[in-house]
Amino acid sequence: MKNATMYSKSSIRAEKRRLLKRDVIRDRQLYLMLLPFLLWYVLFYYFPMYGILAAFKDYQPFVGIWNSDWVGLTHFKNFFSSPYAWRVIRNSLLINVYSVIFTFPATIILALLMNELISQKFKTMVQTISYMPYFISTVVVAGLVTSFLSPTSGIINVLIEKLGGEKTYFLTRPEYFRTIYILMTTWQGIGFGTIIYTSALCSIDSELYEAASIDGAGRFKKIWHITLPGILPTIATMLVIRMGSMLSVGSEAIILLYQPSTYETADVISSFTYRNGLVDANYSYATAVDLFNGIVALVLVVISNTISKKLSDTSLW
Amino acid sequence: MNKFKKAGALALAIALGLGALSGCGAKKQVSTSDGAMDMDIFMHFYGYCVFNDDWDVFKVAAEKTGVTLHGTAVETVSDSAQAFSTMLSEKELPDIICYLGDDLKKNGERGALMPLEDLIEEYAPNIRKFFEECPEAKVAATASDGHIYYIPGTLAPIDMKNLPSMGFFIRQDWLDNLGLSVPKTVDEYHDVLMAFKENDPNGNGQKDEVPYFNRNGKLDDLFQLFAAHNGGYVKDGKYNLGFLEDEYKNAIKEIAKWYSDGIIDKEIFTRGNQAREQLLSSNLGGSTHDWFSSTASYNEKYPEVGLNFVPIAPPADINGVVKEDMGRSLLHGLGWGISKDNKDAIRTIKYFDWWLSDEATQLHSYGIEGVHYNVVDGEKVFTDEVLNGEGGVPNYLRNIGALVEFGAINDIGAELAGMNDLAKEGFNMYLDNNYVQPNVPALSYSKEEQKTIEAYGNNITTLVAEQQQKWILGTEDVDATWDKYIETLKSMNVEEYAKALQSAYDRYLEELN
Repeated sequence: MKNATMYSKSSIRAEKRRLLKRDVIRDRQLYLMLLPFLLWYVLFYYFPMYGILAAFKDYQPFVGIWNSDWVGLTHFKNFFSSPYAWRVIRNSLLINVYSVIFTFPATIILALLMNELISQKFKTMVQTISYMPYFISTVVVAGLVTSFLSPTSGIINVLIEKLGGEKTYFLTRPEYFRTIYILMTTWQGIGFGTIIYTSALCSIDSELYEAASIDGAGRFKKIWHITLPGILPTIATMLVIRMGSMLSVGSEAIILLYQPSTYETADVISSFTYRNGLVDANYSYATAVDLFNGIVALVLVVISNTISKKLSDTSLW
Repeated sequence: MNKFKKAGALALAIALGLGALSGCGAKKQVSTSDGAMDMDIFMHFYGYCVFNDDWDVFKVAAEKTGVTLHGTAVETVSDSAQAFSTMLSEKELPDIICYLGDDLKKNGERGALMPLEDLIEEYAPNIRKFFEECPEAKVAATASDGHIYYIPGTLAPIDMKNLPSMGFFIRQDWLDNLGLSVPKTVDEYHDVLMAFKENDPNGNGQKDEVPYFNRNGKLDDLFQLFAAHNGGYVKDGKYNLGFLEDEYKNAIKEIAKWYSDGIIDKEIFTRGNQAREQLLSSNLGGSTHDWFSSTASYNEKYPEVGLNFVPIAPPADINGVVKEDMGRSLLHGLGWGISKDNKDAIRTIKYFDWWLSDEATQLHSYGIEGVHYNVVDGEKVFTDEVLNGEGGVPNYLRNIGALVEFGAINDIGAELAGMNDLAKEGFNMYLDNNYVQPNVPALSYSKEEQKTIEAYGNNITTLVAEQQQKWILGTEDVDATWDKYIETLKSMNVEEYAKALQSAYDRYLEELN
């Protein structure tokens, strides 16, 4: 009996190997096509992970990562003992929380709205116009924001004054920074963000809508009962992926918009390390902070993925 | 056919991937029978200055010395720090490395560069002479381990110690319109700016004038009027942090008042680099503090506005001292060194030595005689091609390899030739009257000092910048928050930070004497 099982097990294994071999030979072209991508991952994602070591070393390019002196957790200590560590972590988190609360649903709503447009021509036009800001350089967008908000001649302040209010130097006031930042990034990214939902919307069976019409469902009912459930898996996936970047805020837009007087709400991890890391070429310190960022991101993704799996059966793995 | 195409595409994809891995194999110096020699040089700084094998000036140098240089850095990389560290992480280094002196010293101490003092002693009379006449250069080139790792260069002849760069400019036509004279003191300057704001000097019936503006988005330039310093400065053998001093407290109060009075541009922090262009072309700007040569060009640039924007001597500060804190050091901070993999150090140091000869100084400052300049009545005059070159004289010369910052002395001629008469007038006024105060010299930090500065520096500069702007904008009161500010700085170990800088400066002074 025992022998028989072993025999069959090894024969199954042999059979599997044979099949795999046949598969590889038959689909060699497909495998060959896969090869560059595998190489790409190894070269640009797995191999560089060795660089994480730099976070625990006093990295010097000439000596190399391996031979640089070990410094243990010094760089982490330097970051976390900084009186600004908590402030920049909080700011990074808050900006992302606001972005999830406002930008994330805004994208979905815009996609739903565009989906309801009947004229195909008009729809294409709206889509093109809403994508466009995405392709404008952040430097230009920040320049636009700065001149709109100019305390002397900016259109916002001119309007406020006409309405009897008082001119405000918005960009130097910490209480306005997050609003300005979220509005700007939403305006810039909202159109482009709809692409993925638009394609998900296309895949909903049109018969469902027809059936709903016969049952007497109106537009909102249809959106609520057909469209939203139809793209829910996409929404859940996007949200889980979004959780992976809850601590990262691109330094570019921040640096273009902030002022020392708004550091209180505007200084994020990336801009803080930019001022420290890039200027003094302190690579190890920047790596340490990035590593911390990565760990938090991993934890958040795992948690949100588990929740999503439980609630909606959608998950990344 | 189809198969062939596929294989081709794949090969291309793999080649692209592998190309990134292998990088460029380092070419090694080749010695030919006639004594000519090829060497590799890494030169990449300021994000755009990259060694170009076609530079005419270096071709002349090759004829004179027999040494031909080949650049290893690629222009498509725009981040110099990244190019430098990539180069350092390669197995074999180029023969010559040209970069920021501080980084050369740091990596020299780790073994990337050869110590040069013995080579200089034996083979380099010009370098010895340079170090004797300009001891600052020798100290700047000496690392904290006592070795010299690079040969620095200068922006001007070595007898010009403190070079002017920026000066105060004011609208002479506005002064005339209001019947005012050039302000001589900080109080007069305040009153003139106030008059600009109140009395409509541009005559359009509106109070839209912006009396003082600055395109760097900071108010650093005004601190000197109140005998204060925004950052670190040296005086009587001491390295001081200006932002801890009572003078700074007083200056902040005054500047905040200027700001709330509206004589400083309300938008100074966000107007950005175009502020000067914007405010002068629209006839709104009254006064600024900026570089001579570019600022003096606006009268000609916008003739329709009728500007008469002229350089003036710095208004005397609150103690009655006329001075200018924002100058340039004679040394530009860059230089070149001999890498550990260089096979002929003697030949290289001789090559470096040639670049400090009088002949090379002329070549480096003016280009090639007969091509780029001619000597007329003993004066060097640039040819029309250079004078009318795109981007101005200095830019033209940089494109042939002259004026580029490495171990060579620059005769200030090209910079002056690139200026119009007004700019020259301002430059010479600041130079001849010795207004310019010495800069903080380039210091060499020991490992311990470096650690202290890295650990505390960012926190301190963040707090100082943040608090300063809050005070100037008037969101916090100086008197009410000053003690807390000092206390916070102390809790951020500002004293240890200052000590590290002081000990580096002490070593500098010791080496100088």
